[in-house]
Amino acid sequence: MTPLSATLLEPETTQQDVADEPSGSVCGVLAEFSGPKELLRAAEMVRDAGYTKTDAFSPFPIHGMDDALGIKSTILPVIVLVVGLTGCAGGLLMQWWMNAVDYPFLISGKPLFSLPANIPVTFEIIVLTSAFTAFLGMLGLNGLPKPANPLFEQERFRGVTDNKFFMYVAADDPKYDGQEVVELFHRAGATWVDDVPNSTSPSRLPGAIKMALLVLFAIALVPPLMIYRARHTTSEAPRFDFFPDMDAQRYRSAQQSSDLFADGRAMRPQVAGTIAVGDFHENDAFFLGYIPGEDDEAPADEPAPADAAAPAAGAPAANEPDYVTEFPVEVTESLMQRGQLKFNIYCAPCHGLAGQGDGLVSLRAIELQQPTWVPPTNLTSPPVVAQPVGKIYDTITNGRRKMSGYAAQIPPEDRWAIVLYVRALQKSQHASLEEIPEDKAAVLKNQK
Amino acid sequence: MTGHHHDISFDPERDRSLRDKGAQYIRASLITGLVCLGLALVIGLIAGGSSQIDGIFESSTAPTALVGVVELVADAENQDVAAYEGRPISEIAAVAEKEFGEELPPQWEEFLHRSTGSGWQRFQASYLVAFTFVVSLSLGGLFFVLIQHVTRAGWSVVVRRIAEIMAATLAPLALLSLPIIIPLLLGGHALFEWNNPQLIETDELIRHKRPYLNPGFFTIRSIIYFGVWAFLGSFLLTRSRAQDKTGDVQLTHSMQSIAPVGLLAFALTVNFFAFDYLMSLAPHWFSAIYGVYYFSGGVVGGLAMMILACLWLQREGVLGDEVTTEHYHDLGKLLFGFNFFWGYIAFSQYLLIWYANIPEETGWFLIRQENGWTAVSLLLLFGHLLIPFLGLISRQSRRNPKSLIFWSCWLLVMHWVDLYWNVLPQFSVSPWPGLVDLLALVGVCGVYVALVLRTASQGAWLPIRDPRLNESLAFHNV
Repeated sequence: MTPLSATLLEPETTQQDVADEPSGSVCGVLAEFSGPKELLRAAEMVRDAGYTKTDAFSPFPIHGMDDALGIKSTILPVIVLVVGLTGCAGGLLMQWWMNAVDYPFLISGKPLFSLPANIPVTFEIIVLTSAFTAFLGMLGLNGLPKPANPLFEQERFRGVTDNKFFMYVAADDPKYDGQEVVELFHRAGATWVDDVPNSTSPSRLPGAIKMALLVLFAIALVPPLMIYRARHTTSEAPRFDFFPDMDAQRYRSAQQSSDLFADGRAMRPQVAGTIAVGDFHENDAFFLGYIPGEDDEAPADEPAPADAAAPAAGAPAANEPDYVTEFPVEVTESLMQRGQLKFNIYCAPCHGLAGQGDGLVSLRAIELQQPTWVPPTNLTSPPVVAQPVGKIYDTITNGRRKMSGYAAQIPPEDRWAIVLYVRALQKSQHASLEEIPEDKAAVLKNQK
Repeated sequence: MTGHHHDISFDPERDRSLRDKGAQYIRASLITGLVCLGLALVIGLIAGGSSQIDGIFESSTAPTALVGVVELVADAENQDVAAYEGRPISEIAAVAEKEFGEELPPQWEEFLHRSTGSGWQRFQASYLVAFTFVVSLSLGGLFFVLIQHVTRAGWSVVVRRIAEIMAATLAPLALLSLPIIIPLLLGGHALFEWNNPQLIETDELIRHKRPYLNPGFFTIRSIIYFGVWAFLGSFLLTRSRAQDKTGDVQLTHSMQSIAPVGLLAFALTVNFFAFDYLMSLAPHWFSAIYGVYYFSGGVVGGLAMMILACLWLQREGVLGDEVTTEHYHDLGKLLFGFNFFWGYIAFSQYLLIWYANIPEETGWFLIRQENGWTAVSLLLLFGHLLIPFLGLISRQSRRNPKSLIFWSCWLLVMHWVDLYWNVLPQFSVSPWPGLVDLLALVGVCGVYVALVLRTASQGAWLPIRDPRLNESLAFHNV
């Protein structure tokens, strides 16, 4: 106790000096304590004496200080909850307005306003609004940012971030009486007590910072204004080209001219007789499905003229090529299975699994009454049954009417496999009982 | 460090009475558990599954064999199919037998019976729900211990022993997997249809998954899972208990150095455990996030059990005032956080499948959105996620023991509903739990509690000489 009573004498004089000064220049009383426990006890005493505008300062958080100072629990969580819920409602409203009202856009058949799709965005907006409210609300409720604080002008107070413990009672406390507060602090065991004079530095934001903020705000307005202007005016000027490297490359395009060559063409024709790797098609029956005639000069990979095809009537047109009638590949069970596999992938969507022209795509198009839709041919109908295999192969290769060619997707072997399977489908509709193997026929008879 | 140990008063008389009481609890819960399990099996076998034609024509997932037979019978008797609503399956079967006799496919009766779920199947499914439930609680405990060691947490020392005991119980829990594995090894396929030889022959997808989904490899994997868990659980508990005697700081270091590796092994094993025991019930379906989903539910359940166990032990006088409001507050925070994590994962799983809308993925949710299962799905959304979210969001509710007891019980129930919702739609058109489900749950939980208490009875309830004990005792939320 001796060191404490020794220090007690010292502040007596300080207090005398202060009392003479006009109270307007004092903003509160600051006291120093020797450690966290002493500070905690002092805070409790100050609280019990009825002071409310108090604060304690320490280099580290002290458990129980909130209670000791009598700080009521903050309203911030409630504010965050309310703003978060508002963000939730606002986010949902925004998505409803954008997706279902302002710019209705159907995405994979979902309803225009469907909750599951909106939850991630709503969730993020809740997080965003809550986080901003918590951060800005904390600053606001604490009266921050504060450009000047009289405590910072106290030389002794600087030690608070190292090893000093302080307690402060503000002069605008309703119970405030300088003399009493000083005595209270002494009773609480303060090692040093002093009045804090009002800050001499301006308490408002410096004009330069205000100006800078204003300029920043004005600059921030420029992009939205530009966007607004661009959305509401038309312009003849070419679009901005930020990264021109891909647009303007230093070579000639296919259809441009060039002085370099005598013929003036930028693109060079192939040397006569060039064949690309894998494009040497020796066997016409296999690759074309027909034997080219004398005047048929179409190269192997070019489609046959579209109007050469008969309009599905079955009667061969006068200029129809010489289609092969026998399979140019070996007909095996595995080829048949391959054909079924490929048929079900490429053909069945339109022609139907049984080839009767009733595929899902077609049914849907008819249901929607698509005006340009041409129903696919029934592959088991007599005209198709009458077609030679080469013609069916050619149809797959180059397409017919609305159907596009499948040469790019289906290799020749698989095209022949599909032709084989189409033949099987045709057979399934027109076979007689004698053609069916004995054991299978027995099953059929039992079913009847 | 060793000088800082906590003074715990030791009263031999009180200790003996607590031990006797503990032994009584172990006996009572073990007997209750075994009796209930036996009853569940008997009732399941006697009562069978659903035995009536109920609403099968409104359901898009009703067994096609049954629908087909009813249509045939209706056709033969010149009646509308609706007239067969509510009639017992055996009656329909008799009519079909009379009308068609020889023409019916072989083993059609077995097929018909299986399509409505036999009693044995129902028992197995109910048992699986209860088994994965208790395993997930212990996994939650193991995760808690590992995380505390990885983060070198000081606050949690006073509650860590409870989690350690739950984790160490995973070793004897391996025995409870036998009622699932043994039928599988004997060729049973009531639970896992991927073991059905007929399906393996006809179903290409199941055939392709056969190298992974087969009884032998399933058993090997189960041994690996429980082996890893048993090792981690007993390692952490024995080290911690050894420290009770010696106060050796080196033991803390050894637990901390195994924790990161343990956490990695934990993540892998829990994921594949969930894939094997739960996701493979629908062998065509797959979801990469499913393991995390099971894990998140398990941590919620584990934390709820820890809170309840702590409060119960304090009421019984086994634990003193070492565990304070501050610790409960933190456990409550974790409970709140992990429950929302569960919702986040559950929704992530749902959103992608809903968005892509591919039949092979949506089928799993489809059968959980009809025939009354919709109500269970919504119960999970509101009961597991939204209502507890609002209930636990306030600081006061996480610091109040009564509120914590309420929400812990609530979430434990919801965690069971979650697993029930994961398993049973694969077997039952109706969402109502039967006596078999409840008896299986009480039975497995009884055995589980007995195992936990038996593990606990071999040592103290607090890591009394942990170097961070004082930090934990003085713990205070800011």
